[in-house]
Amino acid sequence: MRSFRHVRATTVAEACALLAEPGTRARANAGGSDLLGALKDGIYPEPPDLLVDLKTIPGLDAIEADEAGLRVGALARLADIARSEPIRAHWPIFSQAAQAVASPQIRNVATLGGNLCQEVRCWYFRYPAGLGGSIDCLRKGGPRCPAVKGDTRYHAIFEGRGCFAVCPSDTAVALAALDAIVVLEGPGGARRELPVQDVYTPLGTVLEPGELVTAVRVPPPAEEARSAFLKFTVREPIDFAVVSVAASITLRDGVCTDARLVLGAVGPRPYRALEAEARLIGGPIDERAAVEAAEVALAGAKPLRGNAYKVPLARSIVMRAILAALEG
Amino acid sequence: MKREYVNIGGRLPRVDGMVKAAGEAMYTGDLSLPGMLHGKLLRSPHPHARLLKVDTAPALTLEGVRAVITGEDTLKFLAGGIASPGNEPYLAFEKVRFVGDAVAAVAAVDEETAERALALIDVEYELLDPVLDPFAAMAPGSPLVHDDAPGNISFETDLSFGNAQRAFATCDYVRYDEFKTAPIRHGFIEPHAALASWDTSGRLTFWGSKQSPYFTYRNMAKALDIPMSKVRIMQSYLGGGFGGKNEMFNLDFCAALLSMKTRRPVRIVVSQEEVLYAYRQRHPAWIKLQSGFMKDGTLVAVDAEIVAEGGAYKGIGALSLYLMCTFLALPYRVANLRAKGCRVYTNTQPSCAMRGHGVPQVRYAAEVQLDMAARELGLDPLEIRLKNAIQSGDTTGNGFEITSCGLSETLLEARGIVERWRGETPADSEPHLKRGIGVASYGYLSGPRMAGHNTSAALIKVHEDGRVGLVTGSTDCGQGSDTVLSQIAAEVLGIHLDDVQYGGMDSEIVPLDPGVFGSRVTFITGNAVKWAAEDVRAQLAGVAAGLLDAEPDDLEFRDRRVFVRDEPDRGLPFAKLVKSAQYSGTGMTILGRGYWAPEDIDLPRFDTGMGNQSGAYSFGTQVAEVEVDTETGRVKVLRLAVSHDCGQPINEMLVEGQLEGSSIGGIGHTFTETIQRRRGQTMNASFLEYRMPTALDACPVEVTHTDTVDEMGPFGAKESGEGVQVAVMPALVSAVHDAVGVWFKEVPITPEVVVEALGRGAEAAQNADARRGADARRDSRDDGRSRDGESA
Ligand SMILES: Cc1cc2nc3c(=O)[nH]c(=O)nc-3n(C[C@H](O)[C@H](O)[C@H](O)COP(=O)(O)OP(=O)(O)OC[C@H]3O[C@@H](n4cnc5c(N)ncnc54)[C@H](O)[C@@H]3O)c2cc1C
Ligand code: SF4
Repeated sequence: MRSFRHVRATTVAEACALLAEPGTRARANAGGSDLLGALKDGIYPEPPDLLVDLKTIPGLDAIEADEAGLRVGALARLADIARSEPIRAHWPIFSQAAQAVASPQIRNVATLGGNLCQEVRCWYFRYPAGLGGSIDCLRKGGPRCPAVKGDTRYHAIFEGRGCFAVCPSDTAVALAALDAIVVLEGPGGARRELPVQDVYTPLGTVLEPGELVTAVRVPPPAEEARSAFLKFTVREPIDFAVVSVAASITLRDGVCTDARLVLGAVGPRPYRALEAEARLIGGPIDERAAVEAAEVALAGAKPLRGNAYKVPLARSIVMRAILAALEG
Repeated sequence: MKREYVNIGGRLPRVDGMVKAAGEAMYTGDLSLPGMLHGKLLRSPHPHARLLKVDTAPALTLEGVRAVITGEDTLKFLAGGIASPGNEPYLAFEKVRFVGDAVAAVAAVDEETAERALALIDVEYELLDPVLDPFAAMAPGSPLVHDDAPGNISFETDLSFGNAQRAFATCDYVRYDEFKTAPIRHGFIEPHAALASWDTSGRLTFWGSKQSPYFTYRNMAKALDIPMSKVRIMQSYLGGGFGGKNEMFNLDFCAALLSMKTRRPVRIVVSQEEVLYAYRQRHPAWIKLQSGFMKDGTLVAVDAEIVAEGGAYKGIGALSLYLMCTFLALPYRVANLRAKGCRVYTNTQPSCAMRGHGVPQVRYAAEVQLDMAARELGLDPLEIRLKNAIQSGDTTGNGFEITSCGLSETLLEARGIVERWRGETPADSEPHLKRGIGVASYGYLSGPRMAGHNTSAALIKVHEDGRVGLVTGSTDCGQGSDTVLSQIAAEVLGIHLDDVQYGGMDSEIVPLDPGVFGSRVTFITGNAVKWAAEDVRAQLAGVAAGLLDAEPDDLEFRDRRVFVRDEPDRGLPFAKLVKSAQYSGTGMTILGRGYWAPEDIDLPRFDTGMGNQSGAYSFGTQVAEVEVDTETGRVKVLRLAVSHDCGQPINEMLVEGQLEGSSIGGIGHTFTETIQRRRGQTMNASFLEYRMPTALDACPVEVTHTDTVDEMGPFGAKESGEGVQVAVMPALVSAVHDAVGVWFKEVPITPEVVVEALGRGAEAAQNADARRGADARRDSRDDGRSRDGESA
């Protein structure tokens, strides 16, 4: 690992200013559970020379819930989100998604901001430099993507463009189904809010230099909303999703009045299956409706050479998530 | 018949349990010496290249760098090799042969400096075409990994007894299938580590992470050209081995040579990533298997062609291949066998021993095919096994002498388990969840008989306070041998397990020992310990006889006392006896000495597979229950059971631990684990992506022991824990078949493989390549292969 400067920020403004410092390649460090691994593996062609520690900014780890909804600071740890009483009571899929991440040790240090902004897990992108040199790719500014013609079993089936790595964050999937808004703050007091799925682009995130995720806001749940988060992995724990689905369904008198179906690990951002949501709204939810919606949800999938299996897999997870939400 | 023991057979806690649990156990990487330097290895980024230049000068100019060595600084000793000379340099010269092959090593004041120095070493390569697939490697005109190995053939075994070809013609049913297994990893948690200290007297002191310290002792002396007695090998606690820490590796050599050059102690601890991409793997195997049966299920003939990918070097691959071939003769009676094995070089990580050593690959094929045959013949999988099960007193066609065997008992036990489970198992709860049960059996060895030194030895020192110190050259790599050996000593001396202090390995005083492989320690070293303890007992009995005015033969040692057998009150405490022996007259030094290896057994021939490999063979049957999610392809292992014959268990709790660990390991090998490579590079060199099962993937494992005693084994004990790994994969694969009707002839069976296979459906297709009738011939194999494409 190359040496770097390390600064403990004490305010958001200071952190943003440091990160935007001209001439430096700075990166924010929250729990470090993703960043330090990436640095040790030497995956960046131009490794950072400055790390700005966010953990020293007071108050950024608050979890606050009231009638206006939920507000979670970027430094809230996944372990705290998973066991937060209000989150478990009112936004259970957010808690479940946080609990589904990695292992207890990692959840004890990993933060929400870091989980949303973590690097993709594409194994070409992540190939450690120490094992014979890192692999150049489009996402690292290289000319092409070696994955498309290689082993794509864990890559995108939706919305890939140039890069086919999938968004690895579990919390982003649940948050997208809860209509969550991400609060971004940048240098000079700049501030903007975006729906969580709009934070991601096929080659990275929309974050400008110096910009940070400072909080996530989640509106209060509809009274009759029911939800489920399902994550399919190859190994039971400590594994990224091959496909995950967050479903949130509002039922009034047996009729679906609103629905969110969000698929994770299928594209560069949490993928909202809008047509499938529309298909559910206005009717009763039963097994047939679930099967049909799942069919519609995957209709537009464009698998790569090596990941066609993800389509039927995702279809059954969508169907199960809808049915699980009914019981939830 | 089982006897009553005090220290044998129970559930005694491990002697190393507390220090390990408390974090006090020191592993090699924890050790440091004053003035110690840190070493790192530079590794090839290319799978196959000629070394044109290795310029270390720029690295030497970096402040803090004390020495840099390359292949040219070595005596070019070539390591490895059984049955023929080795071919693995500790630092490459002339060529590199896989991504990860070591090219140079640096010693510096700290790890970071060493790491930076690596980047300054200027290596010029001439890239050569790599061979990355064993079949391509064997094709005419393929580049050669080693110039002296035409066709990239590393070793061949051709075992034949009876006449398989002729026998197939007499069979009612013959079938042919092709199987494939994946390259997998040992998965030990402690990475390779070495600490070496050279002094002016010409002595090298070395601490390593070694299952078999005396391998390193010998190779170190040869590689450095110093007398063996000038090498002092010490062994700290070991964090797992599973066959992957037998050999001496490049880091061991480099630590020693760098210490010689710098006159400072040098420590090298490799990263877990380096372990995963630059050290050893299990041989992946391609197995073409034809078996012939009579209608009643009698196994008549077996014909196998095995191709094992050896990777870049020879290592101990001849033994691996020999085991793959010969274990087609066990655990069932078969009168006609032909097994042709070929180990092939490729430009990938070298393959070596791993739990089960070659046998899991072939027995997966053979057990699954046996089940396929049973189905076609309308026989129960347990019946066909009982029909063919080997029995004590049998000698296999290649010469394995089966002196004790509880295989049939384990099968009967398994029958009860299967019946019980079938009764307990609810009907499939959801339409997409299918449950199934499978069985498979195994036979395994209790220590391989090898040419050369094969004897284990033990020393026991009796302390003044009536406690004893025990040392052997067999190391505890987690399997619990320190405890088992201590129990044996305690039993013979009639003292308690607490009274035995198991000492560490130190070649200065601990007798020569082959080490830990092939499930040899309990059986072979156990006997040596028993002898050593008997030697102590005899010496003490002589003293006690005088004190008690009795015949030595009439004395009994039990419960920390020595007494006259028929008059228990006429005796004295063990500690008091020791003191009397040491203090009176000239005073005695009570040291017990024992050494043992099975005698009079026919040495095995690696090229023909003939000979008796071991003094005893263990047996068992594995039962597995799975639930397959037919939509997602995910297989959940619900429970496992092992009914086994390890002779007399020395420690039931340790035996269960071994059986559980081995079984759960097999879950990973069947469903998740494989090394993913791209042009010779390992894409999943981390425990995140190399998916070994975790505790949450584990399932309950029921264990039942048969009542068998091996006459040669210490207190009747034989192998346990390695053999069972042989039967896990086939039991799981049969269980999956029982659930969804598909035979998987390639592992691992990942979710996507299952989904694809179920998509293609129809078991009928799976059996398309099965041969029926007596006219099946080897030469029809080609179309068998193309039809085999159906299987997953
Ligand atoms: C073994 C393992 C298994 C894992 N399994 C899963 C899994 O199953 N599901 C899953 O979702 N994740 C998984 N992860 C990823 C893990 O969740 C992330 O490492 C963690 O959430 C990152 O949080 P952190 O606070 O440690 O971030 P850091 O490592 O500190 O930062 C990660 C990245 O985000 C940036 N960053 C951090 N905070 C901010 C912020 N506030 N604003 C802008 N940028 C920021 C950093 O600059 C860095 O690039 C796994 C990780 C490991 C190591
Ligand atoms: S999929 Fe994206 S991250 Fe992976 S290699 Fe291609 S461009 Fe790089």
